[in-house]
Amino acid sequence: MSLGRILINLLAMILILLGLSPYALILLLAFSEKPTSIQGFTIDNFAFIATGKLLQDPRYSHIYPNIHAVLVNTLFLALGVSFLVTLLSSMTGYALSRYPVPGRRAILATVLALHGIPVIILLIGLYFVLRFIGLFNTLIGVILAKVVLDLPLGIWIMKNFYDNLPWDIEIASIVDGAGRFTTWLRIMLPLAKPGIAALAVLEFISGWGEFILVYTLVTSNTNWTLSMVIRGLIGEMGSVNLNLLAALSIFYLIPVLIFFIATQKYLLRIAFGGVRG
Amino acid sequence: MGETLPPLRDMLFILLFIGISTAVVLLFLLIPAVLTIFISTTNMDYSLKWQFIGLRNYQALLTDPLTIRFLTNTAIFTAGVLSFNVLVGLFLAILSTHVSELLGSTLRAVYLLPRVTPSVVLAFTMLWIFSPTESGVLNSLLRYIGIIKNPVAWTTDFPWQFLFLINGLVGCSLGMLIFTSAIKSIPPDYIVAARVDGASTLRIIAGIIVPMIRNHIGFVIAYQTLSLIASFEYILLTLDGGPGYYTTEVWALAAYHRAFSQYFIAADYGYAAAMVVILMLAAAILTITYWKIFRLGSGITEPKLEV
Amino acid sequence: MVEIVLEKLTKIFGKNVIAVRDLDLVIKDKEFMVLLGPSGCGKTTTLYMIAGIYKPTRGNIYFDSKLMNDVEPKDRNIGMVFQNYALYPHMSVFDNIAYPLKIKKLPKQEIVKRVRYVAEMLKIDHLLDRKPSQLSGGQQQRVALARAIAKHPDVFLMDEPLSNLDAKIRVEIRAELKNLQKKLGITTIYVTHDQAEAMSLADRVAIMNSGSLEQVATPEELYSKPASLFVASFIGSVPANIIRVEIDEDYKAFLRDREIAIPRELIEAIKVSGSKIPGIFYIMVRPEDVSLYSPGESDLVGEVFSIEYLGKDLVYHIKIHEDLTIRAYTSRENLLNSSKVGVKINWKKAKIYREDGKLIV
Repeated sequence: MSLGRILINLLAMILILLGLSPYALILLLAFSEKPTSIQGFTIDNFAFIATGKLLQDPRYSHIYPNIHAVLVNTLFLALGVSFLVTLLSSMTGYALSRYPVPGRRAILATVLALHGIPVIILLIGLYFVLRFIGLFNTLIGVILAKVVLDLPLGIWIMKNFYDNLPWDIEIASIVDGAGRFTTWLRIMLPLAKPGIAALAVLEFISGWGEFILVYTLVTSNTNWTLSMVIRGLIGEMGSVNLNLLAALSIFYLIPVLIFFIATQKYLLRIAFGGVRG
Repeated sequence: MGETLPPLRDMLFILLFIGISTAVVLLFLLIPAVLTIFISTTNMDYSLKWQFIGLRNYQALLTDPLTIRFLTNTAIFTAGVLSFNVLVGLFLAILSTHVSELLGSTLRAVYLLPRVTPSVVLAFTMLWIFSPTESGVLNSLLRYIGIIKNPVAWTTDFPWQFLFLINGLVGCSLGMLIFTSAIKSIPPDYIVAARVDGASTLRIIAGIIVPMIRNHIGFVIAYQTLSLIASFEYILLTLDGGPGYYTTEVWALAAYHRAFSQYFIAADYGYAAAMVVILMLAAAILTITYWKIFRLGSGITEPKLEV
Repeated sequence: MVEIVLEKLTKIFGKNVIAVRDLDLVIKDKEFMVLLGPSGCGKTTTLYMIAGIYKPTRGNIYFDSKLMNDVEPKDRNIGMVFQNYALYPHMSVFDNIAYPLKIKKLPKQEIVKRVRYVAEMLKIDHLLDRKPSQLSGGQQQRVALARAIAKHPDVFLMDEPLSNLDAKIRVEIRAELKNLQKKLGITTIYVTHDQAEAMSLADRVAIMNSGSLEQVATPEELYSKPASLFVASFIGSVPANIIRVEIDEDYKAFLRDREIAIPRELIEAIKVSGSKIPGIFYIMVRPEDVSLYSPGESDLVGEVFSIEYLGKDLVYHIKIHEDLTIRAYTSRENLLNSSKVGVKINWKKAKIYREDGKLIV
């Protein structure tokens, strides 16, 4: 190997380590015995996983909601977003890809144009709409808002996926006597499983880490998600134990890391193919 | 094919498959957007009592001395993060395609992490690393090595650079992926021919690769500009517009604070909505421009079945 | 078992792509009709209209006198077989064949009975548990056939089902298919671009070109009395000879300024047809109706340009002049490359065509 080759490989490796370092540091801090620096090793900071109580001191432990409940909220949000976006995208994507929908081009253009709408544009309006229909300060309201923001991209991804499925099989099913709906349900949907799986994972991650919508649209801490707890602690970063924050962060990161490592190659192909259109 | 109304079954199918999505979008996207425009013409505040005041909010915006500051901040922010995104994204794409596939894809995966990391976690991590106090990671490290004596107030003295870094870490992954794919689809013949002609790798990168992906670069610049002018989440989570008086307060954050500030009583939905409407206009103009430039409408194929 | 009538069937895509133009065709009950033609001639489009997948722009489709234009594919009781088999990859062979029956909501026992029966008939009963990806091309096509047969359709529609198979398997399945169709007695419409396949399978062949019907007839008639030059050159494994001649006011025929003798019957036919004289005409004669003599014995003299060995027989390509090469199909073996030969045409079998390609009877 030439010197140049060695150098760039080295560079790549250094960058990899550099990129991983923040995560490694947080990991070490999470296990640290000292509150604001990395020293020693203890798992005490993770006590909240078992007890649900964030602050062990009974004088303060009631300020923050029970972590178990918060975890359930976060799961609810993530699963809700994932389920709804995946369901709606696999239906709308199919119709836009394979069905002679009147005004198809206009709808597709709209879908493209709508994706990536910045949150701030909708926040004020959402605040009032949710208040009006009684979904303010509920996780369902947040789920619906998040779904709307992620739906255009989801539809585009699924539509492109369906575009690449063979027509013969669909025609065969229709000639075999199945209507369009049965064909979609029994034949096309199973064939679209890889795309659906990828989208479901992407949306789970998207919902799991959601912050701003919860911060704005949820007020009582019984409806808090993990992002709110961590945000609250960041606000008190001067006085709170950083190693606790770090432990919470690692906890918050786990599902993302698992999903990510396990499906990394897949996500890149599907998500990326969707963005490029 | 220009026939009569589609049969009932057709309508039911479309209702189910397209109607539900449309309803959701209408209710939680269109209506809020329209509502925002409407509210911008009122003086609604925390009490939710309002009066129609026409364009007075916009007039106030024009005369408010802070407006210029917000615009400038937004411009600085957008330019800074965009540069980071494109340059780092390009760099990572080129590097990762010139090393082994394993190393390259690992590199890309690592720099995708910030994008999938929950924002609060990334914010906390960066705040801790760049903390102005002694216990900040960077400060302790640099003091340990002996480079500095006293802790550096990273986030206070270099707020913009800090914001560029944290937003850039998240944002560069998009360019990285797009450029990687673009580079990989350059026909190898070009590169081989250049090598045979004796060109060095650097020359090849500058002279062949970058020019050949310039459409992709243009696309990333356009796309990310649009999202950056409205981006504020990480600023909110870390510096919250500071340090001090609106140092890093961008337009979107200012609007957010105006509507949802910590001091509930200070909420001025009308004014905030006006700020948001300006943003909507900017976004709309940019979107239409990009649509024309990139001809995004082409390439939509017709379905084969007509039933 | 139905009779299908296509009446002035037309399909236009977009604003001006005419795929099928004013097609009139009757497919008799129990008939094996082949739609033959080059790519893009409209045969698959026609098939899809009969299936109901495309809606006709104009014209009508009747199944046993019942107008089908607005009837959905699922209600037409059709069995369809595709070039790419179109098997459902996530289902077993059994479930693939059973699919249309499940849609029809047949009782479970009936489904099992039918699937087993059809699988046995097509010799795939040992493959029922496999997935399509585990089968060979030939086996997959049998499954596709089984699926089409199991629903007891009124019509079979087949879109180049054998094109993806190896040549040997193709010939095998072809024979089985013909046999099967006769046994089941189901009206069949089969699309292909392979004229040999059409000739061997069909009761009648409908040849299409650029959206229009050129001729519909039995294979024999198509071969011996092609209605147009297009048909003449399309049909036949060894391409027909098409010789351009000019006929002057005295009804003398000239092949590139050399006069050649044309039998009186043909001259009479030209006179009767009222074709313009002087004019250009085309003589069509099949390679097996051309015989070879020594150069002195005929008007048409040429040089052997190349020789094709076809096992028992040979095809000699004889160059008469730059623009005309005549193919002769014979078992005679003693001619060498570049030797001079005289060519004689069996005028009883030859046909003459007008400049626009139409046959003069």
